[in-house]
Amino acid sequence: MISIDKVSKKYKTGDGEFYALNDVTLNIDNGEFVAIVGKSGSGKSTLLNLIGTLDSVTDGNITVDGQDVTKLDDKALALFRNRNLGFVFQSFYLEPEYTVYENVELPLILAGRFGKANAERVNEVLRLVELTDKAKNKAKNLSGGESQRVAIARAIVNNPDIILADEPCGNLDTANSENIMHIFKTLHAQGKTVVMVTHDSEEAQVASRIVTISDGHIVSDERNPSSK
Amino acid sequence: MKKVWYLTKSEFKRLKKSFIIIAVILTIFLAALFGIVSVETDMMRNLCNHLDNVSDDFYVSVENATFADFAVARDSFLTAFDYHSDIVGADGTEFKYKQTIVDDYGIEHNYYSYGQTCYVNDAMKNSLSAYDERLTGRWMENDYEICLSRYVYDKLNAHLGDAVTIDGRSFTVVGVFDWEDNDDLSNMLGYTYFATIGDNVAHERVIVEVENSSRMFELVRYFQRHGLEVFDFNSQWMYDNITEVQAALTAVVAVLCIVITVTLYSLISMIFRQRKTHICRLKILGATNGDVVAVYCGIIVALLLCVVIVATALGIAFNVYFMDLCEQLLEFTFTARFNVYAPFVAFGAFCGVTYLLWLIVNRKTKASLAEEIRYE
Repeated sequence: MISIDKVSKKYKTGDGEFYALNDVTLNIDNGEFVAIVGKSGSGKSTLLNLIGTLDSVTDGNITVDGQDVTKLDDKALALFRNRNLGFVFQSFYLEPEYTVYENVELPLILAGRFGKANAERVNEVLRLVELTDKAKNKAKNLSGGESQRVAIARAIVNNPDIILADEPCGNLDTANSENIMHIFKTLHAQGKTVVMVTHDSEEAQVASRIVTISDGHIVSDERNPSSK
Repeated sequence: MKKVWYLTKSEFKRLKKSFIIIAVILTIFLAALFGIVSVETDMMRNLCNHLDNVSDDFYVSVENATFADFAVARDSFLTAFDYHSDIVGADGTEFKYKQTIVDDYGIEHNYYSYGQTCYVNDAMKNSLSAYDERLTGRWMENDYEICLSRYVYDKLNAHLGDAVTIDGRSFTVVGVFDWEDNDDLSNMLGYTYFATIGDNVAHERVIVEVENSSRMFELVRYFQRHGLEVFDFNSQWMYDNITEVQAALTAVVAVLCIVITVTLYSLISMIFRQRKTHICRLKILGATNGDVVAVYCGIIVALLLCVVIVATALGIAFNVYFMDLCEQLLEFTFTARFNVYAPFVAFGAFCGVTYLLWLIVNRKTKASLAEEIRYE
């Protein structure tokens, strides 16, 4: 379970300070598929970054499965991210000179796992995203949809409980977006907790719960009975 | 460890081309630096060996010097002039003062420091008698007696009847002579005596004799540093040539050091600029700061170690080339020992500079991973 308790994030600007998030409280149960929706600049990506420990809170606590991640040091955070979180970014964030296989294997290496076991696991996740035949291709030679699928494969290769996706379809066409959403639904069905940020309310319909953020505040938090 | 090795391997594959280019540049310049430094540091040694083999006359001629000008030098160089001991002056004493005065007839008169080394004969006795009124005690009557100038006498805190050893010879102090500026020495033609250096009169030229060439050059440098006018010394033209060559080589060394530092900075900057995003990705996926530092510092240090090893081998070859060149320029046999400390100093300096540059470039990175992602 992800517990966000009165979290605020303040940034300093040339004019002074502003709060990207202000006193946000949110609980996400295990196995939920949550879409965080809001306009650009509403604070949704900031919230995702805080959950993913990519940034630090100004006030409040974030607890993941009972562990207060706001109090961990750099080494512990790195370990936590590697074991518990999978990231999918709008710009894919793959290593362009690495092959698909090498990109997907990276989290395993960082977890201290090597050898044949890695090959089995990497091939397994590549099968899931239907990119087995592209394993030896360099990431820079892939299309947008393929790149995002590789990013998803990388995100799940360590079998984390939580997938964090920041505008995963932001750079994709409709067909590829549907493909990606289908993969997320599959992961959700496998019991993973998926937290997805999007500005597209249509995309958010795949989620079982939609949280709307505006100006750093949660303005609505609703179950989505009609999730596709 | 295995994790770092895997990451290092992958990174090296990605940056292989750039690394090889930089490594080649660094190796060439470093090898040249090693070769030049080895030759430069051995130049004076070679000159001294050559001179010591072909000559045994080493002197430095200093113009318009007084005893006071040598006072500091005396403290440094004449510690063996122990008035009350039996230490042989010649063994411990690095040089003796020989003062040359050219009289109106153009004849040189040599005067030795501290005392009088002379051969007593009747003619000399007659000449000295003209200065009786300036003498306290008596004039020397044999080769084992000495008269000191007042200055030297006071400086050594000597007393009449004391024993003194100078230039390996023992004397008894029998007299103290009070020197005056207008003393006429022209009638002393052909005799060698006087402690003329033991006063404060400026003399036209003082010749300092030394045992070997390295001591001679050391004295030259000392006198020049203290503003004395060095008129002449043995093989001055060779010394001047060597000094000029060394100055030129020093300039070359400085340029090489600048080039090497700039190349090293390019290496560090390249890694940071090209790999900053990759480092961020690694951290997002679970790499610690320690992993990142180990990977990149490991790559750089390994690269530099290879560079230093290859440059050392090449430097030895450069050394041979420069030795031949120096022999042709300097016209004597030249051997240069490869400076074995240079590779260690270079590697240590590399690591230090790398660390500093890493700190400088690292400060420019964003504060959080989220900012890095936003920036990209």
